[in-house]
Amino acid sequence: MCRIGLSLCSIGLMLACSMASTAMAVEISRQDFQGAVGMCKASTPAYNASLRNRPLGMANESSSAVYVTCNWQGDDTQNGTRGARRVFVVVGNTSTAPKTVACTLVNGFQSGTTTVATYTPKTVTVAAGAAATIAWVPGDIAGGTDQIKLPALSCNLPGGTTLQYTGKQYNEDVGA
Amino acid sequence: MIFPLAFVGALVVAVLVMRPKMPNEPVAAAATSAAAPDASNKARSAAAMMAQDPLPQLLAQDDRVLEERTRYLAALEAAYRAEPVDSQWAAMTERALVDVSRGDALAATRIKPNAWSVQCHSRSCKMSAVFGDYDDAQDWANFFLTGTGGILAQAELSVRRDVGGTTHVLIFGARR
Repeated sequence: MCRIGLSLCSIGLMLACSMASTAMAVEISRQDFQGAVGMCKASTPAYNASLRNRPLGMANESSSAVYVTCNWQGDDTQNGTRGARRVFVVVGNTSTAPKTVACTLVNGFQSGTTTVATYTPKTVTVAAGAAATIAWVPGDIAGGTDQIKLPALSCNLPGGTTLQYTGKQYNEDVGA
Repeated sequence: MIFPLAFVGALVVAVLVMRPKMPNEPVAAAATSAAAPDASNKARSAAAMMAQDPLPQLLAQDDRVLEERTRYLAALEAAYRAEPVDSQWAAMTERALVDVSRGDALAATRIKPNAWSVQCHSRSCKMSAVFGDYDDAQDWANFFLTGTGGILAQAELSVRRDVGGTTHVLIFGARR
């Protein structure tokens, strides 16, 4: 009788443990760092002539502004967790005057000729010789999303500015 | 009586198993049955992966994407039309958006919008333009929106090829 009771207890404990392990998926916060040259490029071939691609940044060495386009990795799975909790770019100013850098986060995709995307523009003024960060969080995008699922970027870099690096914070599901 | 029958049966099985293979004989049944679970696993795994891959789903949903996008833009249009007009904010914002469209950065692209129109109410603005080329329309809309940080909180973009060969850009921008 006692042995049967113990066995039932063991089975119950095992069931409880297995149910707990499936219910308690653990997410760890990660941040990916990526130099701008690795994920950005001139928006049109004409802008290539103005850009210098260095290990530590994509620099506009001309006197006129250029447009560049970047893409982060996203997550479009329905219950995926790897969409961004924050994306950011760091821009530097190597000139002797303050410069305004304008970027718009493009969250979405294109299907054929149909564009399904939300544009969230931001600007930052960078002091001479300094650097500044432009960041986006899910709250910047209307619609109640908790992640930026398909992030891409368009930036206008005035002459003398450098797109230095980019970052993405996301959660990774590491199981129980 | 049973023994001789069993012996004959065993002999037939032995002959079938041990007979020499013909040159064009298909792969041995044993090998096939051993490989079958592998192939089946691979098929399941690919199916599971495809279920996670958004691209086939999105491509398969092409009609639905267009339909939903059209419905969403119609809802934005209706919301925009229903807004009262805040004339002070509308005039200031319209001027700022027109300034972006006429700025040096966009002028340098040499892409010129036709029938460019900007109208703001109290919480949103509606912008539209027509282009002779689809790619120019895409580029110009991206570049324009990149410069609207500080004016708009976010924007939704539609780039639609018209029957006559022109491309119609429609933007709804939300107030900051």
